[in-house]
Amino acid sequence: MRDHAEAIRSLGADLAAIGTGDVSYAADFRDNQAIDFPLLVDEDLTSYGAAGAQQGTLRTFLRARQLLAGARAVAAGTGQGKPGKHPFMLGATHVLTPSGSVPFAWVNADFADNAPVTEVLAALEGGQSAA
Amino acid sequence: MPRTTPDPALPDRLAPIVLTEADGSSVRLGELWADAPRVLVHLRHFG
Repeated sequence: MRDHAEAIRSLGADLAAIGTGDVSYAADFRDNQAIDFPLLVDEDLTSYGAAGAQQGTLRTFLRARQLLAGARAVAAGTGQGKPGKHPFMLGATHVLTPSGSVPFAWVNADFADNAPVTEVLAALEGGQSAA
Repeated sequence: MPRTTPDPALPDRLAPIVLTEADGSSVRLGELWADAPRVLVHLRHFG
């Protein structure tokens, strides 16, 4: 998603990310990846629970689809970093607006699952046209 | 398949949560979408 921050901003929105690591690791990650949007830490998973994010299992982690996605990520130079103390916590993506609407919601089903950027951008474009 | 029906109560659940940013500052999540739409990504990990 971070590669699409400019496209998101061009639609009048912005990006923020929350991770399960600690502040020190987040700072290193932000600097190494040149992240220029808010990067927050949630070590006790409070916001993960509020967002409805799911816990994966070792069994789902070892599914062929996940292993293939991991291999592709390593080949692309974007392999997994330090997993931290919540290695089985899955992710989620939401679009939240000042009016209180949620035009996009995606809760990852497994370790290889990610919200399609095209759908996130479409949700933002829809919000623009509705405004 | 994992695209979920947006929960209208989600903003109210998330907004009061205060988290620490990578620079050590505190952020109330509701501030993130107070002025403009925000794509909020919960990462599986940093990396």
